[in-house]
Amino acid sequence: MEKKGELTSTQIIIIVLAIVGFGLVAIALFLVDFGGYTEKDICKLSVLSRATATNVAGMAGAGIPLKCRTEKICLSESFFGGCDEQFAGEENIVHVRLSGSSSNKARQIMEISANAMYDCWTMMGEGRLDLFKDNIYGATDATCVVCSRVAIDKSVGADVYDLVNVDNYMKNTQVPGSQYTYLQTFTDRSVVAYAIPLNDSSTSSYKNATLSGNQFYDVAYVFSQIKSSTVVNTLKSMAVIGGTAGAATFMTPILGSVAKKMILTPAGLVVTGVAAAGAAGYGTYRAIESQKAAAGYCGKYASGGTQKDDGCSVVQAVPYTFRDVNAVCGAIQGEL
Amino acid sequence: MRSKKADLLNNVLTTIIAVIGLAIIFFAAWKLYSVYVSQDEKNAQTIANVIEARVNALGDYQTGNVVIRGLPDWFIGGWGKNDAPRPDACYLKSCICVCKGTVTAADVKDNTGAAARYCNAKGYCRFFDLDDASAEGGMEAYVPSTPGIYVVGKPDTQMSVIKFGKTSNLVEIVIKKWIDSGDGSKNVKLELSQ
Repeated sequence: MEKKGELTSTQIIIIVLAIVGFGLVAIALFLVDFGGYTEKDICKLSVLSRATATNVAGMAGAGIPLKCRTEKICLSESFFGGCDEQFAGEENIVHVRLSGSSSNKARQIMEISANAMYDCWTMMGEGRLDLFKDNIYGATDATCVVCSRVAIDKSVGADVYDLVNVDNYMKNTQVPGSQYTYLQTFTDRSVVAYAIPLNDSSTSSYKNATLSGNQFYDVAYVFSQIKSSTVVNTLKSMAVIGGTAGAATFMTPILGSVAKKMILTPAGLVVTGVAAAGAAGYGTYRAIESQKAAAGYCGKYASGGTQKDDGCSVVQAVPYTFRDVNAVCGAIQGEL
Repeated sequence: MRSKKADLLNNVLTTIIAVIGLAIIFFAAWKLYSVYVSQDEKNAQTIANVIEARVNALGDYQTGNVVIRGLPDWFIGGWGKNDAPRPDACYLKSCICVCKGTVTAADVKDNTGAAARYCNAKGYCRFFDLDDASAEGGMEAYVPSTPGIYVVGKPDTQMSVIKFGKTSNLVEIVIKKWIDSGDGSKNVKLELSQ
């Protein structure tokens, strides 16, 4: 005999299905909200949409907004919070706790930094897509996207900083899920060592710069793109001289610290030593010293349609100060 | 005949499912909105949040700085609690707002209320428990129609702005907090770095 108020099998099935269904939807939405993949996917999708817009519809791709938001990563030794000096008031900060010995902490910093550079490069189409179609050909200013900012909390000591060498890490470490190192991935797979650095005229003066001002490690991974045959030729020549290059791709240890302006001005090989001019604290000093490498591509864009659609794209680590970033970028797109 | 308990159970279940369903729909709608909302508006909100956090983190007589992205055709306005006209969103408090619009030097000089109107139309305001808030920089020079001495900005005009102009590059804003030794008023001032 059926009891009063007893659940029927149909009701139980409906309840179970409803709970499972809502659970699946909730998980999907939760991933949309917090999954790093989805933010990057949205960005990548907008990059592809913009790059292919001209080819498909004959319209200006610049009308399609880049849905790329700067990823903010805080590396600290504490369980909660950190990087208040760099990220005060900002949202969507990813906190990563550094643990273990100093060398282990340094390895984590290098891993996250290398991945930030790699993610930026792949997200932006590895430099082969014309993302800023409205830019005037031959213009001296690059247009940029700040892909991510990696900040280190003040609790992390100098003993850890001194062990950080992102360039070496990228030379010796394989990209997760790949058989190639970061260096090989950024070039043509056959490159196993960096080029011998060209005469870095500003490095010495940079080292002697007063260590004052911004004391906090806050490095931006900036993708910049410029259209200029002069720049293309300059960088191709430089890549040949340096040897850390295959085809039109290159990875050079000179661009990061010294030649920010060089890649952005048609004057080409004039090394302006922008970094030397800015006063920097220990954090930013280490940021530059440990990350001189920049990955780039010069040549015709895959998404281009005209003879002049060639240019250069570079991703590099830049201290997150307005002077340093503006030295690289004439304009910035995306959400900071 | 069905029992009342069974009916109640069915109703409760239906209601719960409906509420959860609506919550999910609203959440999904909010997610879609956040994906497609204007990037400038998001950046403006971020600027307002960052400035608020930095101002609140500073003690009296302290100076700090903040790096933000310039928003073409947006500006930062500062109003003290006694300044007028002021954005409606400021109520009776000192506030700093990030607003969309093109304020001219003449607007500031003549205190036309243009900045407040722009902020009322589209702006993000943050309040402070201070007597005065001001923002200065990036404004073009005021060209008077007749010779004379003109002051563009506070205290004469009761309003002040930082104008981004057309730049979308990074800009640095220096934030100064102090207590006036004369009247004891608490102030904050935002200045655009050159």
